[in-house]
Amino acid sequence: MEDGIIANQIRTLRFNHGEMTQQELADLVGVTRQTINAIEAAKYSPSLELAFKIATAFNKPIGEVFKYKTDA
Amino acid sequence: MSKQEILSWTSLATSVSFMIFYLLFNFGWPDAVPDYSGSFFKTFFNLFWIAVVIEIIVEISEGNRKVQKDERDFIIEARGIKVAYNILVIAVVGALVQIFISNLGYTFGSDFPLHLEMSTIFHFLIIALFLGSATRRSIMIYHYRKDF
Repeated sequence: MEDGIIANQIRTLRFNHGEMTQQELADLVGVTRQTINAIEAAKYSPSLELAFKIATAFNKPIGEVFKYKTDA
Repeated sequence: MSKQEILSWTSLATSVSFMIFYLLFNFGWPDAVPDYSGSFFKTFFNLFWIAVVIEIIVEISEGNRKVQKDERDFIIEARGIKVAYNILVIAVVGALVQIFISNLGYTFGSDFPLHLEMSTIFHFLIIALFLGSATRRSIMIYHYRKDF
């Protein structure tokens, strides 16, 4: 199987949730703002636990927040 | 810049400063190079104190934050520690081999070519310790800068 990236909708979801800041989301899920920034930019893949926490913060299923994308 | 990244920079500065102080105090300034030991020492002395002051400021200003360190920081730290551990293992094994060779030197006489004093091996291990610490912090900074 080809390597892909974990794309996400965090930026869109933040703005849909009253323009939530990265810091507010970070405090909500218990990480630093820099980690949220790295996840948003798809430069860091979060642990499964953190991914679930982020999805829960937006009241969305994890599949709507994160998607695994390959070139194929 | 996150707190852990700032602390990586300050820790790198203190490790390098300590290594320079150790080298200067034990081996002195090399004869082949014009003597700038005074200004060299002063520069690293200032660097050391600037790093200490920054660490105190960061601790005071960021100390009340809910999250000080998260999973990304732990992964980045683990990568740094892995490389530092390898450096230390190589240094310790190298020192043990050298002790064994030096003991052979005592058996075969003082003309043995690979004989080293115990103090030299001790200095080598201390420098490896500082080098390991500096490498660990450098690797961490690299990953933070790379926006891992």
